[in-house]
Amino acid sequence: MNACVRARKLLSRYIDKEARDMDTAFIEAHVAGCPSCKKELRELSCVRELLLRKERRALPEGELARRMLRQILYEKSGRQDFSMVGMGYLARRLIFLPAIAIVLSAAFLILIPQQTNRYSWEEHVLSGAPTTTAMALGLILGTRV
Amino acid sequence: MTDDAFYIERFLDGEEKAFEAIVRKYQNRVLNIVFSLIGKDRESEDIAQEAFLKVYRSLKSFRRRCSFSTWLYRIVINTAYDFLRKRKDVVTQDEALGQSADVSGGREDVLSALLIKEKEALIQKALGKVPLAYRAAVVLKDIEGLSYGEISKVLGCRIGTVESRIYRARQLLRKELMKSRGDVI
Repeated sequence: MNACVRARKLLSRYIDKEARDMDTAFIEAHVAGCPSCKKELRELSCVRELLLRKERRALPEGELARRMLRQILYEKSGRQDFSMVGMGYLARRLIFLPAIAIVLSAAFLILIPQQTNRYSWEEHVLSGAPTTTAMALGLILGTRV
Repeated sequence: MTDDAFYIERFLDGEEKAFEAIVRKYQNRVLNIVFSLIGKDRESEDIAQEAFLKVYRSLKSFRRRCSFSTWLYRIVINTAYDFLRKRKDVVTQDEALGQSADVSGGREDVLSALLIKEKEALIQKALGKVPLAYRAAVVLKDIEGLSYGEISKVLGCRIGTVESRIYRARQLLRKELMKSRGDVI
């Protein structure tokens, strides 16, 4: 195996200090005489350092336990947690859909009868006039056409 | 008996409070793994909570074939995977910059805080570009500090695979960081 290929295969373990002694000795001897592998080692070590120093998130002590306890209590009492904090990502975004559906239904019920409330369904059938989608929906909802 | 085993035994004996001790111990570790994988604060907290709930519901079936932390991290990684599969998005720099920036204080403090935030955002953005399997391996190594052996148990793959995933992840991170901002690296 080419020395560079072998060195690069072992590089992660070496950087993470998980290489065997003989592999450590090989890498150190190899990078001493190989500028390309030395550069690779330096840059990948730098990437590791950046991740090690990456800012860590921290919640207040016991925060997640408190949220969980609330969720568990809700589940045990047979209810669902409707608070925004306890809801999942999708639920938080879908919460407005029922509200939109209610508004649209109300608008439909108000507007459709006003536009089509001219004569009874029986009269319409007898007249032989074409039936529109709005008329068909009006029939389903029990309104006049 | 380890702390974890002690609390698990107490929980399985019916003492619910014991589970709280487990959550307290692992909450920030889990949160940081999730955040590094998905790069969004609020969703990370939801996913961490969801993972702990899964653990709570299935702790009775924990067979102790591996350590509790390995089992927990496996659930955390899978929960984050499920979220990302549904979302299929990558964290944006603006979103990452907009998160939890506390820039109160003097003008220099504000500037240095912004520089740190920008650097953090670039690192997070670069992580978001790394394929999930590689990202999980490097996050478990460099953010959580697990050994190659532990990572192989969490991810259910061979140590050699973990080794190559970490190497590849670091190469891709270097490429992304150099592309976005040369002075980060």
